[in-house]
Amino acid sequence: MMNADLLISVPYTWVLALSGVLLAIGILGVLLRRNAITIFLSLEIMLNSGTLAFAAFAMHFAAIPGMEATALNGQMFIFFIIAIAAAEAAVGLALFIALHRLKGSIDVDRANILRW
Amino acid sequence: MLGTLWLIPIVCLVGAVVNLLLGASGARKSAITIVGVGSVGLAAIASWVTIWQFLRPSTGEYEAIVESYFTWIRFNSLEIGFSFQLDPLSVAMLAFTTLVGFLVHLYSVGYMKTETDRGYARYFAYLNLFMFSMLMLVLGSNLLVLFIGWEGVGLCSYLLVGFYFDKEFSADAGNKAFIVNRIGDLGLLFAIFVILNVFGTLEFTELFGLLNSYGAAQQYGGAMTVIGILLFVAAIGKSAQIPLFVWHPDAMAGPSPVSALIHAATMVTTGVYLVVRCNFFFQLSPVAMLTVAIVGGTTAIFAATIALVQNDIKKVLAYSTISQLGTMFLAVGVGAYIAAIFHVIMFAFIQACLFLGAGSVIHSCSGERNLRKMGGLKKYLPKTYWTFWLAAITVAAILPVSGFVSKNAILTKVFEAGVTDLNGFGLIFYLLWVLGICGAALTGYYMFRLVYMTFEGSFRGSEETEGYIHEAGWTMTFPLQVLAFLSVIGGLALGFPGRLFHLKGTSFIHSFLGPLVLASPGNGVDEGHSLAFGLEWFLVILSVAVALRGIQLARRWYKKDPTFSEPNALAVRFPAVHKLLFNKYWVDEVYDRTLIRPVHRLAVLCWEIIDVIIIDTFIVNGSAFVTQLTGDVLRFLQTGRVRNYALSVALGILAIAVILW
Amino acid sequence: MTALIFLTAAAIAIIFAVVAVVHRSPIMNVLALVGMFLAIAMVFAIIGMDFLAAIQVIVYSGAILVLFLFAIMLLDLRRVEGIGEGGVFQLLLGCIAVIGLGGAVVFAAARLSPETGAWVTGAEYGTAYPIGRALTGSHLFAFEFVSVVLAAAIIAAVYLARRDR
Repeated sequence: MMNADLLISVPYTWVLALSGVLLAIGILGVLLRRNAITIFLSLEIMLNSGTLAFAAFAMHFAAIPGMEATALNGQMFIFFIIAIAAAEAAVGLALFIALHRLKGSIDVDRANILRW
Repeated sequence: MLGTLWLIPIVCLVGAVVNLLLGASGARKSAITIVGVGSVGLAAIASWVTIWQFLRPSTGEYEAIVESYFTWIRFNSLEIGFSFQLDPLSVAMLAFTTLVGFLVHLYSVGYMKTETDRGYARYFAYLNLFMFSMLMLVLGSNLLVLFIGWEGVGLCSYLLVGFYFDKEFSADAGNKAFIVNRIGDLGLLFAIFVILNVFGTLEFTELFGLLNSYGAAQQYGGAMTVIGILLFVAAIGKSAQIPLFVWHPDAMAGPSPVSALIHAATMVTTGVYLVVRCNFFFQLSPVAMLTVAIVGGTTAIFAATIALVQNDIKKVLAYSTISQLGTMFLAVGVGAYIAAIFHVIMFAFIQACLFLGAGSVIHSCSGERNLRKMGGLKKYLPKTYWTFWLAAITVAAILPVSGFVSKNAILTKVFEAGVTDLNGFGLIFYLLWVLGICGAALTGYYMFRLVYMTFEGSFRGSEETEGYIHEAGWTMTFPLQVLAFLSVIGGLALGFPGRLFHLKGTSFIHSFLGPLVLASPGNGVDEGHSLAFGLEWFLVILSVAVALRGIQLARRWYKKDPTFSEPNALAVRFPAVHKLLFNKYWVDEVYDRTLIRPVHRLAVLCWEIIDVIIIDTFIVNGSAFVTQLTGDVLRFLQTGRVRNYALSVALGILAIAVILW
Repeated sequence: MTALIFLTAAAIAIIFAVVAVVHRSPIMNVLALVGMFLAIAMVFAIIGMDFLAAIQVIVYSGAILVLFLFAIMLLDLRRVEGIGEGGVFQLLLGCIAVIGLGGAVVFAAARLSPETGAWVTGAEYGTAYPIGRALTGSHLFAFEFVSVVLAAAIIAAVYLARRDR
């Protein structure tokens, strides 16, 4: 196998900052949209922001000798997040179909029978 | 045979439970009779076999047998076992309790036959339960087991006094009996606490051993008086002494066999039993003894005076019972414990016989209790008449029947206490003796007033009633005959006063029970030694003479004169005295004014202020109101919009982030 | 050079994310999201995580987003409401939360010391080989557990979307 060292020329803090910006956008979508699909998309954005944060720190630890296992763990988390996101998408979309069948719309504000 | 003492009470408990179940399942009277009478009969047989076993090794020394079944309470060093004890005292109590109990059960079969099947089952269940409790009380080897029985008989007394609970006075009488007894029970409970605190044990044998040692009086002097007084408070409640006697006359609202068994023969005498059982405390406390003597002597004369003018056949007997119980406590108070127990046994037969006789009279007169509407029943109820007459003459303590033997033993001891200046209270004992002699005269008078008003002369009730009057069946007359026989003979057999005839040795009951009494200086346990022979005979003749005089007076006023003109004239001449006695010294009214109404007012006050205002309004409704108010405000946070909830989650995370920063 | 590529990818990701959140058409939202996923895959590739970049493209852009498109077509959604149509209060507090939380992460990133030009020894740290070893080795339990979760999700989705309940 090639054992050449790799120069990572991007600071990991940049990745972290990208993660923060995407998180903000995701929260914005969840809080301010009424359409269930869009809210769901925003959730996916937030999940991606999470994976980016993991990636940033995995990258950071990969550069520290002796912390390779930690770096690998970070990537494992990203892998599992993607898998769980797939499961979540399946269930969530089924829910929206059920909601649409019930209310004739996927506007989450109309699913408000728990109101006072 | 040993190890099977528990069988005796358990049989009765099983009988009670089975009877309750039978009553609920609608069984016939015959089945209930077999269970109810049969279980007590079995208990009686078992106990008499046990007694026979106990008496057989007649070496003169009877060892107390304690049977432990299991440890009931264990706490640090304290260990209270559930155990029964068979010693001469419990043998004596067991013997007459089961016998009288069985006879009363038999009598009840006839007496209660007009009840409904359910009521009949209920009655026998309660009566069996009573026998169970009574046997627990008598057999218990420590104060706590005794306490179970003590509460149990109180409960059964309440249940049976209020047996006709659909009648208001009956239910009220039951409540009164229960509530007044509470005071006494509290005394017993406190006594148990103090004894546990001082001695660390409740076993009678251990307590006796502790106190029998040299110097116990100095070591525990003050505690003795406290314990003695508390125990006596318990006895006052159960045995209807001043000032707690008021429940007893009202308890006559129950069926007559119940009065005979519970309120004459067994339960009311448990107070005496308790004091005799715990005689070691009293022997070491002159103050407690004097209290007992004074209360007993006063009650004896007090109740006797009330009995003089009552017109309800059972009320007269009730006051007679209270008076006799007072005499027993008088005996206990002068240290004549054995004479007291002797009187308890005799009295159980006599008074049961009287009450059962009264029940027979009431039964045949269709429930009539008023003496003024009776009369001339001799020819209709011959068996009841002669048994009642015999019992009456025994109560009046006429020579030579057994009532005389036991009562004379007590009066002699009281006089002796005066002569020997017992504990330095000689004068008081002389006074109590005078009261006792007066009581003897009064007893003769009121008992025979009762006999003559009931059985002599001509019938004063309606003609219609007269047509019904008839003697009851054998189940009712047989117990009467047995009890009358025992009343007359029993005392002579058990405690023949040999000293009066220059015979050597003490009577059976004295040698039998003697070892149970703690010997202490000045309080001899044997029959009067310090009296001169002639003086003793003089006392006997005096007491018999006054009793005969009382009987003669009753005969002149009530037998010879069917209009009762002389006593009526006396009542008119001394209206104040007559009213005082007829209204029972207004004791009930005084209690009503001084205790019941203030307490009731306090209760109403507590209800209106603490319960209604503080608890209901502020605490209960207040907390509900605050909850509702908060909910009314906070529920607007529940918008039902998922975005709002998501916002609060986001803000919450932000807050945590800020805090953790 | 790498930094420039990274910044480009980041800009694309942010722009597409904003479009995905703000645009009124669900179809456009989903398509923008595909763009964002691809840009993030690029970021993964730049920082040496080859395997994750591939997974991101295959699973996210390929599988999940197709699922979204399918759902939108099924529900026949055309244009929906835009952003911020839920009360001023929600808008205001929402913005505070957004700026606060996003800002917190960015602020943290800014405070950390950037280690540009760090050398990673054993440069295959992001390739399929070590990740495959870890999945079948130290993380075997989690791996199997995720498969169970996915199976459960499939059953749940079938159950929820069933017509005759």
